Amino acid sequence: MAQFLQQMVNGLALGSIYALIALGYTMVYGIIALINFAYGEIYMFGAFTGLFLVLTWKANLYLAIFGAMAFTTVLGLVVERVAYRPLRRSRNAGRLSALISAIGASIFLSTLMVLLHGPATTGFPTLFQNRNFVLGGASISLYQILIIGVSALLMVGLDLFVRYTKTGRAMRALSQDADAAALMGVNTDLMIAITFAIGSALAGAAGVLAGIYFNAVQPYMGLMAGLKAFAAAVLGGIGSIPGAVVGGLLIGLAEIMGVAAKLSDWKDAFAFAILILVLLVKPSGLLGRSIIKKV
Amino acid sequence: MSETILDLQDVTLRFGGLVAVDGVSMDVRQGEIRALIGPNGAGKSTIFNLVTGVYRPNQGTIRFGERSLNGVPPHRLAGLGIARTFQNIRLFSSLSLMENVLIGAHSRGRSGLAGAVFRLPPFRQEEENLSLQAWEALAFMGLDQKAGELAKNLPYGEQRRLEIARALVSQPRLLLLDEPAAGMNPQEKSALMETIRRIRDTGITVFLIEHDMRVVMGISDRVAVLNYGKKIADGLPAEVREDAGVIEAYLGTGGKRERRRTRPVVALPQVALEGGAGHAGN
Repeated sequence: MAQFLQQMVNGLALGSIYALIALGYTMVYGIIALINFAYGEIYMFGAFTGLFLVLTWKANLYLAIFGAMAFTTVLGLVVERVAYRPLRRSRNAGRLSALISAIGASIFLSTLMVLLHGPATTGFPTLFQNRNFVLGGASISLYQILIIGVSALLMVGLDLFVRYTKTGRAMRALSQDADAAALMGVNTDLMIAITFAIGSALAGAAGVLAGIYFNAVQPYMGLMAGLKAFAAAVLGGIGSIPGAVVGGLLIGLAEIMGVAAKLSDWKDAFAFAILILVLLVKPSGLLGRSIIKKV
Repeated sequence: MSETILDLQDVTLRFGGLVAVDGVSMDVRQGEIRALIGPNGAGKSTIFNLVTGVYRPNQGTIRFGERSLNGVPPHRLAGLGIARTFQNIRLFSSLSLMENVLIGAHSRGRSGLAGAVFRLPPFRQEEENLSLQAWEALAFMGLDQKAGELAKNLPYGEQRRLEIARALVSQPRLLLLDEPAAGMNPQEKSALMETIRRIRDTGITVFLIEHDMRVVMGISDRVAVLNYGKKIADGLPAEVREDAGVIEAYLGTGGKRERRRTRPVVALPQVALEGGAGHAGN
């Protein structure tokens, strides 16, 4: 039992990171039905920004997280502007073009980081002394508390933003009927940019948290994390914000439980096995609405 | 005669080889109820989509007051004072009635994103004002009792009314109604006609597309008729009703066509050739 509780704690911490990235996937999909595959790389850039701030400016934990979020926000806006907006404007570009452009943006960003930093893995300097607390037989580290706490805070903030602000309301309207929303005076380009910015900020925060937790930052770290977060978004029901959180936590738990069951060689396979299963059995995901095509 | 608020001059729109709107000129005057009618596929909704910037005309100009609407993106129109409803209802179905109407007021908000995130006093003041106006718009359409319900749970007639409330809250100068009576029963239609008059009486100019002749002839000041993308008549309801071209467009040239189609069948034997009638060449 204690063992199970322990794995739950570990799974929640890992799952929080996936959930933060998955939120970006799901929000962008909800609004323009596009998968922004570059979120994994934005997460990687977040980790490197945090690392850079700590190494060169001796930034503390909070500055590192805020700085990384600010930088990835700008990066997300640039990616949207350069890789997606021109395709949205062009009449000839279909959905497939946007998807390929997304993959291209993703490869570009990871390669850029290899050029800037080199392919080596860098450890994250110790920002504060890690400690373990024992809770009902399971031990939870300060790092895990940090990850779960910061993630929960950001998710609650996002929920309040989407539910109670004018911009959030406009985003929800846009996700239901973009043309009608535009005719009500909602600036769709601006809303799409804000959506990219929010998703990128969350991914940037996740990057710093992951860098601290795993004590490892490298240019290709975004690929696997991004794909697993995508699986999490699909599991939860792509387009659904609570779904992304539930999906992220479940994928994290599944991965940790798999490792606990001595299947660590298969660690990366669990997320994708779940993805395939969901697509076969319930493509709309756990909390997603089934899509009815209007005739 | 009052001034022109909306003016279409020689507007043409082609979709590839199909001419959807063909050199249409018409105007809407301040304070009137103006109707546009015509058979299915005549191009009526396309005219609305041209006015609201969904399509851009290949030719011609559309002016709103002093301003050209050519090239104005849809999201700027609400701010200019044009609001519309849709033929196939397009509410935000998973939002509450109140939220739907507040989206309609979106263009009227001034506070930026920062104000909204940090809930600065000007933002709160503005949200309160907008909420008040949203209540008024819902009450005007008789929907204030249901403000918290989701739009998708409303019966059909009330969804149509909610669309009008959402359009009214932006305090437009010109309201475009795309088949507002579609699918309504006679009682609902009578109530709708009353509502449209009340909207006009608040100073909003109404431009509507409608199929129901009782509604159109009952409330419109002037009626334009479209057929195959061309304007075939324009005038007072009584004039349009008597217009031979309009009657033909609606009832078809059925009588003549019927004869043309049946004649060869009847006349297929040599008799036709001997008869030397005009159709013999067929």
